[in-house]
Amino acid sequence: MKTVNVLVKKGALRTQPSFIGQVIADVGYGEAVQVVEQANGWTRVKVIRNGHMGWMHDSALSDKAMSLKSGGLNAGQSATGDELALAGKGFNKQVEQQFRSRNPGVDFSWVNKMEAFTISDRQVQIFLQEGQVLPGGGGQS
Amino acid sequence: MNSNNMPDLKPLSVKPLNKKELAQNYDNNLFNRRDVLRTAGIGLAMVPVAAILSGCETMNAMTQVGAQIGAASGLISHSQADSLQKVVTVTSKSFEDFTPEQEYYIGRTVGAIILQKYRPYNNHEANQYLNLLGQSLSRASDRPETYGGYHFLIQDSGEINALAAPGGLIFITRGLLNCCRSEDALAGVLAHEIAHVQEKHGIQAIEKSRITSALTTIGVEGAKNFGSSELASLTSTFESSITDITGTLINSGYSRSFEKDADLNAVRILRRVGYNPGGLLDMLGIMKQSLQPGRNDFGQTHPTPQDRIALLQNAIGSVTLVQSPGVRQKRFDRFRKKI
Repeated sequence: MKTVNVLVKKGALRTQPSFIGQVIADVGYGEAVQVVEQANGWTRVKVIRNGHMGWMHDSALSDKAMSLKSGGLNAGQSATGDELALAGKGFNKQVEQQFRSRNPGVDFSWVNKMEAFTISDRQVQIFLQEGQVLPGGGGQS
Repeated sequence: MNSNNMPDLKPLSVKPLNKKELAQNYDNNLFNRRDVLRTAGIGLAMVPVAAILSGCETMNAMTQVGAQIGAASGLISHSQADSLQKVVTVTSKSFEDFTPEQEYYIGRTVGAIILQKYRPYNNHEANQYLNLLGQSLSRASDRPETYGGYHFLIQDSGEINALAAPGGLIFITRGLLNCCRSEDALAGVLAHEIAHVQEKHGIQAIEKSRITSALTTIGVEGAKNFGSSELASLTSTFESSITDITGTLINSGYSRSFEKDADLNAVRILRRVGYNPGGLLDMLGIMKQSLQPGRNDFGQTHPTPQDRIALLQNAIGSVTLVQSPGVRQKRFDRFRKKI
């Protein structure tokens, strides 16, 4: 069975291949999952660490298995450049900090505030229902 | 430089530079980079040797000139110069090789620079509504999950503009909000920006040579030889990449094909969620009357509203007047009063 990794900070594992599907658990960056089946931009996966099964959107997953440990900071000795990049190297927090020390006039405070604007699935459902917007399911044509 | 204008990778024969030429080359690169950064509203304190490397036109030229400059100027040893040349012989990389995490860090800095152009509009309720709408739409895009997710912010300017940083930070000015008469129209604007993120248009503005440079600097050999200065080199490439993106977003604009792509993808997103794509046409009609020539806004960076209307009419079929249900229009009117 093919193994891939989660590439986003917090990937949602859902009961159905849709954003209407209830979230079973959040799966963190770098976590390895086994591909069970794929359909319309969604993949049914099994989280290797705890055996949880559910659907994740393809945009949260890598195309192939990557040799990195959970947490994303530990690359194996035989890692290629790509794998090193995936393992938290490349343009990362450290590079941002270096950039900020070189350019103290660039203010990140509102970028951080923006990232705190998070809307839950439930809020989306209520917002669309109240506005009489009929959702088409998300991620599909 | 946008993606349609990227230089091809081809070998160049470069004569070693003498000291005077080296100094001249350095000054030229420094001036050009700073000029672009100044235009984008940012000044840089320093530009080390890696910035010179990343400013060159082709990978081979970059390696040879960079290694020569580095070795000749004593900034790097000859063995490091050899190593650098070896590192860059690695297959050239494309924007697709950036991981979502790297794209996220690029996007955060691009966002911070966009916020230097227009200050944030600090109204929690208005920004909350914008995020409810925007994050409802982004879930229906082809790329609903990015490393850090989609987040939206109003900017306090009368200029007509909206900007999307890679990874999902999306900005819209009060000026552009005032071109929207309905939630469907605003949904159209946001869906267009989400489409730019979905299609990774932002990171495609980074010069190809720089992408290869960024992704090979972290290769094993480079890491072995450069040690802690690897970070300095990477940060310089990072700075140059940010300049490529902000220069494109704020000044030159994307290619017409990217804009067309964003409009057509916006229509798909709107239809999936249940908004009327005619709202985008309605907004463009108002924008057509509101844009003032000579401003550094949508008028400078986008195809004319007339051209976009023609394209969208073709895609949508017939033009439909936007009449949102009363409850939807009421909440939009409440939002508009806060702007």
